[in-house]
Amino acid sequence: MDVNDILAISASALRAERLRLDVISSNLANANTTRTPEGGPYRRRNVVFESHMLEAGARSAEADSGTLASLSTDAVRTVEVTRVVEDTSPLRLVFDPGHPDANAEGYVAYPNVNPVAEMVDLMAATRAYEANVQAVNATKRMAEAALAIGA
Amino acid sequence: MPGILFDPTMQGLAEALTLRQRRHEVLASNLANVETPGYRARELDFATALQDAFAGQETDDGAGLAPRVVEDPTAPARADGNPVDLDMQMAKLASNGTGYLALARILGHRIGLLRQAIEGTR
Repeated sequence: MDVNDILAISASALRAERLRLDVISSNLANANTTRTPEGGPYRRRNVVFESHMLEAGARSAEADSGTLASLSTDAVRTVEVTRVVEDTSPLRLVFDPGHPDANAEGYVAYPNVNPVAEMVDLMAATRAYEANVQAVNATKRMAEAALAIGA
Repeated sequence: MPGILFDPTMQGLAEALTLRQRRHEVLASNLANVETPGYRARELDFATALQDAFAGQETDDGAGLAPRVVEDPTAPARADGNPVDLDMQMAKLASNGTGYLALARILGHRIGLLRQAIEGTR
């Protein structure tokens, strides 16, 4: 296991968190969208994170293990967004008879997006992203220090 | 690889560096999964690895020093079943990284001493 594998772990998290940020942005942008290509109002979307074992190919041939046995393949995990799912919670009904999408009783169904909850998610995703950037930087510093041994 | 140039101290330093790197792998994996439901935080069992190293297994290549990965016993519980504590992991990442840099520098100094002995003072 070398520096590239550690970077692969952190990079998988950066990619997953970025995808989550994409989905949150989409939710916020469509908080009031009543028409979609599929018909009906927009529905809030959510990402599903899943941890995976590091791919066998990504792990180096353990030639670097030197005097220490390397970690078992099960010990470290990357993360992936496996699915983007729609939130099935009820839509927000607003009384607005003049709206073209109002139903017979005069209610308009707006997306089930709660902007406050989305902002909280946005912050959590940003923090997680930053944490993984720090991990990448720490890996880089360690690799540089190793390269400088005896220099 | 013991010999005149690479004494036990240098060998120990190299092993400690590797152990720090293994721990860095585990911490990076924890951070990557900080938002993954059901993921359990892991930690390298430093104490046991060290005890094993002292307890003999007098293999010259240090093959007995195999780090074990355990679920972090200090991890707090969270509603989504993921106990990764961001602050704690960041602190561990920082202290482990600093330890690595220190070890690398000490190893560098020892190699510098060797070089000085070889070249003489000029």
